[in-house]
Amino acid sequence: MWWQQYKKELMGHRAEGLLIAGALVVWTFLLLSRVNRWSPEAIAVLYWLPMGFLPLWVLWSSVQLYRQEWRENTSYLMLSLPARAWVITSAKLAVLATGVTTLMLLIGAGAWLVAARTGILAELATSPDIAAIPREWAVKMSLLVFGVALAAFVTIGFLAQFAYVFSRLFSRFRGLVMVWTWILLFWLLGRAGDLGGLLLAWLPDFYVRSLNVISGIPEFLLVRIESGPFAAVALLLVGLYALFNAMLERAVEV
Amino acid sequence: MGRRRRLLIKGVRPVARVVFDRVTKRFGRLRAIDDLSFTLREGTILGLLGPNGAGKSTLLKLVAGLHRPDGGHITIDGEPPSPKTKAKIAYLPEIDHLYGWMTVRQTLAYVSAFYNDWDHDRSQELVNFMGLDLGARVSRLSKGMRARLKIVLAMSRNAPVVLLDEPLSGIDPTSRSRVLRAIVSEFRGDRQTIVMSTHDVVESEALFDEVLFLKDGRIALAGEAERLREERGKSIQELFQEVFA
Repeated sequence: MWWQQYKKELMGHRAEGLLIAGALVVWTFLLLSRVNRWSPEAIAVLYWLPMGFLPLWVLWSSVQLYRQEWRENTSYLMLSLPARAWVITSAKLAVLATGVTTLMLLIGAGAWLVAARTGILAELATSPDIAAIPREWAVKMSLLVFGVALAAFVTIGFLAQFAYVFSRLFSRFRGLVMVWTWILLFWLLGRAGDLGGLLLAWLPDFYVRSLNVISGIPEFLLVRIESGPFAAVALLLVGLYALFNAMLERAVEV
Repeated sequence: MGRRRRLLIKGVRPVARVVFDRVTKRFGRLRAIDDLSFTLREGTILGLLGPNGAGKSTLLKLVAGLHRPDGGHITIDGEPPSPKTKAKIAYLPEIDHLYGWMTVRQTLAYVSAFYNDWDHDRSQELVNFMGLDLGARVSRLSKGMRARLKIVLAMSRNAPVVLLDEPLSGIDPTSRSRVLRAIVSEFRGDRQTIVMSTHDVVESEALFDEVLFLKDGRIALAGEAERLREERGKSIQELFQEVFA
């Protein structure tokens, strides 16, 4: 059942996914065709410029996953299925995560290609500071950044979906309700983080190894990160997800 | 036909009992359903009759769990509408509610995955009977073909309650008779109840065991179709004109 739902969401939004991925590939190859004509720095900057739209795309596609159901009346089918709401909501979030992961991998591959073809990569490789970075640490940090970015994007998307579905409970000013709900949810997350820092200070902290390279000599520092705020935010997100499912199952109408 | 079906269900334990207890549904100031109470009789085909805006679609959506009542209670086998009760209901809405990008085959595969009572053989038979092309995209089907597909989806299941909202709306005469024949042939009186809303009584009158005339969200007239015909000496079509004149 879940797999069918996931497949349906993936197939239903493949056109826009392919369009974005296609645009990214075209942009990368356009810039690669300008190697030796434009400066490597200009190409690198231009490559990263459109990536600023990624959060906007996440927002738009998150809402679209639900908005389309009501706009095209398929909400009649979605809400009449004998599936628990979590089947529908988790499948839509999984599709969002799939899209974000694919795009992030494409962006990473494109960045590597641009850096390699412009000579930036070779230049970096000869730098003693860069050469001093242990590969194992670089891989771990890349995975950590990837995981954090993915979690952040999925959270942004989930809050947008929550705001949209919540706005469906109103017959008027839905756009306004959605925007304000989304803002309010972020404020709530901030407050939960603050509160978690105070009330959950007893939780064990976690540490991240940060690296400083000075004159080609690597120096590791242990950075302590309080887990209280993260735990509080995670708890609030779990609560919001339960509420989101309850809303879809018991309150929202076609 | 109605008598025969009732004989079939004699002594059979009800499979799904739908009860409306003083149900009200408002849209702004409009009361689409107004303090409505009734119990759906199992094993019958109920004609839900009324003009546009009488509350027929709203009533069906309430049973299907797509609308929530503002007052009163709806129960299906003693439970309020939930994913559990949705498994007992096959709902066909009046509007196009299918994914346009899917093919007929994909639509059947997607919907059937959610129901344990899906009958694959019957689904295949119905697809053939309705003349549907499994590879055709839903968005490319004509309105009549889409209506046929919706009927296939509703009637391929052994659902205790089948809700058909204007299944003949906007369909050409050839498709209409095909849709009606499919409903009659696939109806299982011993374990199924069908509620069919329509404002076009002429073609579907023969189908109904029971009728419920809905006017401004209230019951204007209800009862067994045959008894009403006998008592009043009029056809259901004539009664319709009388009630909604």
